[in-house]
Amino acid sequence: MSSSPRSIPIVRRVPVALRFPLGFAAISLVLMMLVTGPLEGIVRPFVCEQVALHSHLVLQALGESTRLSGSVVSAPDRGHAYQVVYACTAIPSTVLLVSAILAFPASWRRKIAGVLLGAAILYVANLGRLVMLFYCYLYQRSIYDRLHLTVWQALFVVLAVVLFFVWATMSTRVANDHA
Amino acid sequence: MREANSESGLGHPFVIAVRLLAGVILGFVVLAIVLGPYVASLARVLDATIPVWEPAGLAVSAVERDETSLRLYYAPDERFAEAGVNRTAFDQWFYYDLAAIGTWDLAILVAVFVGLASGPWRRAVLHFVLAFAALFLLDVVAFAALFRYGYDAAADVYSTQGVFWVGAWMQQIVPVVVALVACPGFLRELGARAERARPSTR
Repeated sequence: MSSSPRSIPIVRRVPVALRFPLGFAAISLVLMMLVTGPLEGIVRPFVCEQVALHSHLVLQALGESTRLSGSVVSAPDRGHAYQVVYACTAIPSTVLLVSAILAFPASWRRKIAGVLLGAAILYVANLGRLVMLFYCYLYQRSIYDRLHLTVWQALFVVLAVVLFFVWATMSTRVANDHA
Repeated sequence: MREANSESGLGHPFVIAVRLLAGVILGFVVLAIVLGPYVASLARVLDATIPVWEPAGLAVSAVERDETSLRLYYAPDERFAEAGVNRTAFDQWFYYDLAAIGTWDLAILVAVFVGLASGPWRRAVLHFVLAFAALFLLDVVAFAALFRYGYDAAADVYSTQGVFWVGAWMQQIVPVVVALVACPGFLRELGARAERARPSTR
């Protein structure tokens, strides 16, 4: 079925190579404005406390006698405590992934599936990061800051890029198989 | 760089994932090599442009710069004593560890190029150098914006939102967009994939 140029929406006439990065940047800007602006008061305490709760449960499952108070996880017998703040959540990487998925031309069904699955993977990976940092602080404190502030930050960004590309490839492959 | 197969210029997604992770490792090696000069240059540019970005009514009274950090003092230290605050200038006034917070975008850039670039390597190197320069300028703008607008004078601290914006958007998301745009072959490949998939998107 052929389409005349007039029947194609204006946004579709822009090449994907241009539309994607512009859409990616614009959507990420809007999402960041939302999570640091109007939604900040709702999102921040909720996400921080959920992440703290789940990391506390994971540490307990690993045999640690941690305690939870709001977004603070403490291990009195280990002499260590940490507070989950906004930057400790996977929100920046999730914004990155969600923006890339929404900017990519695919069906809404696939976009929603990608967003939900990708966000879940990043959330679980972030719990793994917190647990790993907990033990790193106890046993390898000399590398803790570098691991916390530099290595894991970059790894999480790259993880989001990997997840996006895997999703985009699988999404287009499925689409081609069905076409 | 190579053309991996006839189906895709980039290869299987799991191969790409491995390339990206290898790129992260290489990225940190590059970071370790260029970190000192990069941070020193960044701090030097910020230091030289203080009149452009310093917060209104809050003059920078002193700057300390070394290989990994830039510390800004906005008022004489006596203010602590006058206010009865038992803290040091280091705690109270603005301090930014550029090495820790300001440079992971370089690792991201290397990772994306190693993971996703295709085509002639000379073109990839040229694009990388241009993207590297763009990220340096973006870092300068990000820090200047944080210094200029992120300061909450009432609370006398840099706001969490300001730091979050710089850390999350300017130095994680924007570098990825820059890297993907600059990465040779990636957008063309992406466009081709999207065109092939278009029938199913309706």
